[in-house]
Amino acid sequence: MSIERHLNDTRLYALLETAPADPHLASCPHCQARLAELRTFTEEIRSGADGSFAQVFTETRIDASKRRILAAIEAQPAGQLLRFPGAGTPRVPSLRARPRWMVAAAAGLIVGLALGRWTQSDRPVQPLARGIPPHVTAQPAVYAVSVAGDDELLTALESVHSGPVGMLRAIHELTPLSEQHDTTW
Amino acid sequence: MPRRSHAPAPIAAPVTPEGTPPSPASVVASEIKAMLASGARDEARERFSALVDLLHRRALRIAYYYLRDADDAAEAAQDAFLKVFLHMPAYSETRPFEVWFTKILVNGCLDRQKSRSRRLKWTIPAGDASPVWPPEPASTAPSPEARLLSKARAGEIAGALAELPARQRQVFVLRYLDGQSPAFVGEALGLTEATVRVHLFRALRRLRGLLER
Repeated sequence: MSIERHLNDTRLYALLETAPADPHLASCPHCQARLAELRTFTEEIRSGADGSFAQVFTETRIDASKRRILAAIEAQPAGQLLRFPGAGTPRVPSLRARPRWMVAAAAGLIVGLALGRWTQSDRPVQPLARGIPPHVTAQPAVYAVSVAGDDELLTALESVHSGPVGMLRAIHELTPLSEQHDTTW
Repeated sequence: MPRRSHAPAPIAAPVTPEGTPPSPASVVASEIKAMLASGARDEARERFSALVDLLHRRALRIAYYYLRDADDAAEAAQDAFLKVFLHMPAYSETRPFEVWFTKILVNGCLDRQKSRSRRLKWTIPAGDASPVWPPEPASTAPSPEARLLSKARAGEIAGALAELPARQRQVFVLRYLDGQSPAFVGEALGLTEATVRVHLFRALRRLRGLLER
């Protein structure tokens, strides 16, 4: 009998699941042996898994676990029975309460942002972007730090920038972002 | 206002396909549901212990094969029983109780596994904080060598099962370790029988590769 006519693995696994009524299987000792081997393999896994379970869950442990479950059921107060959503009236709190909180939170955020912007607008104009190359100003998170001595700091930066750039580059290379930026000014 | 009656509600007989008799668990579950419906909650609690007797060991096995941790498995089984008790009014007698219970148990195991992997990702284990189990009686195993060998093989098999993708493991555990039919597995996991067979085929092929190398 040629190899091609033997059952492929897919068919063999299918036969493991169903009654072996395959005509080829009935007449092929090789495939019968393969199917028997597969059965033995699944049995070995089953018994190995059973052994692993029995090693961990002895009768004492199983009894203890059962007692815990019954105690947990006993601890459930009467009248606390729940229903799945859709099965009768749900006892969960109404979802209508949720948007109120969300609206309040959103309103607080908007008011906070507006106040922050208003108080910032009272300060003298800071010519932050003047004299700084566009590829640097495109990253506001790095430069928009507000400190008490903003004016002094910016003045110092501008004076350094208007002079030789060697010192500024040295400072720049010390920062963690030095690899992410083009270091040529 | 009508007074609430505590008379037992009529028990709806569980419906089974092809006229086969309902499983003992389905019968007990129907009784508990009827007791709860009539307000007899203490009786329902007492009757629930019969359901625990019927399904507890099986629940522990499935949870343990899935989670590979005794404490997690015990907690998952407890959660599943508690959930079933609290949601019993939603049990439909048109399906075997075991299918419903298995679905709840497997989903609980999945959630637990997800939360465990999230926890392990962000924390460093701080020693053994497992709950105290009762002391074990003296072992009656044949010999230390035989125990060691069988333990080693059991460990290999458990390790191989753990390497299966989640869906394949679910299907394999329910079909071959729990001994359920492909139809049951499909209903419990929300898969068609054909899909169950494909997962079984892949799981077996993978396990052979893992255990025979």
